[in-house]
Amino acid sequence: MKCVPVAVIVILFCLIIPVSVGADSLAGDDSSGDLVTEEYLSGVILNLLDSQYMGGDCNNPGRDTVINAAFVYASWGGMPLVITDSSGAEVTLDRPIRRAVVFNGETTETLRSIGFPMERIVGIDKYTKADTVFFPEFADTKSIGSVWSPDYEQIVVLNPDTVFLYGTSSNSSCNEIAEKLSSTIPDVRILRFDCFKPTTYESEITALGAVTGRKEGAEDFRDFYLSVMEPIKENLSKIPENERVRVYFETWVDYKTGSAGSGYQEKITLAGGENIFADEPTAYPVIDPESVIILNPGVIIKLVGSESLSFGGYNGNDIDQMEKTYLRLSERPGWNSLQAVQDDRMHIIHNDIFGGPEFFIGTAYSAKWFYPEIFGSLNPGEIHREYIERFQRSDCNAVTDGAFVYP
Amino acid sequence: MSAERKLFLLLCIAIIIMPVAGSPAGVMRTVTEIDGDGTGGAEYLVTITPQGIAAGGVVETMPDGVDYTGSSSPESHLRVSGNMVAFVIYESEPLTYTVIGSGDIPEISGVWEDFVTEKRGIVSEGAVSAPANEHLPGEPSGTQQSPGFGFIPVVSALLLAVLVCICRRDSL
Repeated sequence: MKCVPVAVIVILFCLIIPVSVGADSLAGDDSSGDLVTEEYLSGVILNLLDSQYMGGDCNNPGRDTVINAAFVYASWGGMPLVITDSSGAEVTLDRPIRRAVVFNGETTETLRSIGFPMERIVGIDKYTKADTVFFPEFADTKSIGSVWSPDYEQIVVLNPDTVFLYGTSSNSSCNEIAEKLSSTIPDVRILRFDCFKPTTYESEITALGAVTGRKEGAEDFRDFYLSVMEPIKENLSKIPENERVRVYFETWVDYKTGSAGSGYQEKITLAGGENIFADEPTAYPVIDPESVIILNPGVIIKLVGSESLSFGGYNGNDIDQMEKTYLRLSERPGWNSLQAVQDDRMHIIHNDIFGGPEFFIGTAYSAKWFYPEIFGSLNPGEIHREYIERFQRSDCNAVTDGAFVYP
Repeated sequence: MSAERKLFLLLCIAIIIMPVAGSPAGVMRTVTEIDGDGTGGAEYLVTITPQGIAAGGVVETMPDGVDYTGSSSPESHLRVSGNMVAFVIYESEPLTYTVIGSGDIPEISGVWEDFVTEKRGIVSEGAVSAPANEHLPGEPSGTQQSPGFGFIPVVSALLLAVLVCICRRDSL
């Protein structure tokens, strides 16, 4: 029988490795050292197969050890992965993510985009849990509260190996959660990504691909994302700054806008607009209604999807509500004199495609509204459908059953 | 057949049977008789062709009267125990092994595991498909049937095995 000498070699190899490369655990309980070699992995695979199927009793390494070692070998070349997350923290990963708790729905959505198995997410924030239309797969997943009100007891019960938090948003809350969980759950990895900011989204997609071993899925999604954003950027580069369309952007609160430092400002600029309230002293100011009349924007964008304007998006095809909102805007005192209203360049957009990871769809709509002559062939609706079908693994009914823009 | 022609044919077949990126994981087995001994006994070449498995394993079980005799896999990638042989698979690289037996082509059974995707299934017999959702012996549900590789790759794999036979006979 060849089993005996091979088994002896494998066992000897396992005994030798800790002495030669140190005692830090890498991929599993029995995988010691800072490298998973082909020889080591072959040995533990054969030991597992022997125990599982062949009636052998020689040194069963345990399924988790083999799975961890196989992942490290196949995804990270046998080495631990060192990554800098969006909070600037350097995190060393030595095993795959198999039990994740995710505090921000934006990261959950992006993990879905790159093909990370959703069943490995064992705990989600309460907003994702409540969004049964867009995240139906989490109906039975435990909620862990929110970054402002975390349910620590539930998180400890779930025993995650990885916790995802915002990278830079809600920073003090996330810092506190990271600190408490690190001291409570042994070996838990804290990874922080925003997944809604245009300046960091591309690098976050790549980083998530690396930490989850979904490199190809991440590349596919990043390529798709760039196929939308790069042509917009390239075309806009030909328009001089002083010829940019002047835009008034309003949130779901009347006359509340975004100025320099806000995400809204970033997205208006990304689509080639010039924010008429960019120089306000605060990031999210409520401006004087008269100033809109005075500054007379060429395009107006009104955001819906929260507070008194909680309709549409993925939760319903409420076009009539969007139409009413549109009419109410055009009937505001003095607005019939605005260039944007006279030229029919006022638009309603839902936050589902503007505020989160789908901001690039909103950017495509905005760019087309700002420069219809340049982006005549751009089809944001088709981009949206492809995103839902190809990357969110859903059917296009999610788009046709919802209401995202008007008109 | 000239050596150049054989090489060209092998190259074409290798390209055809190359796993398609993004295809579901699975393992296929083809069995070809390579040498009859004239007394009813024969040697068979078994080709194991994984698809979409970065790091995994296969366990093959020989029926009574069939004995494992050798493999293209390195010693460190296989283990033999009784009538069973376990192989380690990397990057979906095909492997071959030989068995001797008597009578008809041996009915070998096997299971595979992909330790990266945590999927497992039954090794499919060429183009013969087994019932879906079949459970592995002693295993909980969640296993998946090897999907099979379609007509062209199956025929190509068989051709490959035949060519190996021809080459061996020519070299004798």
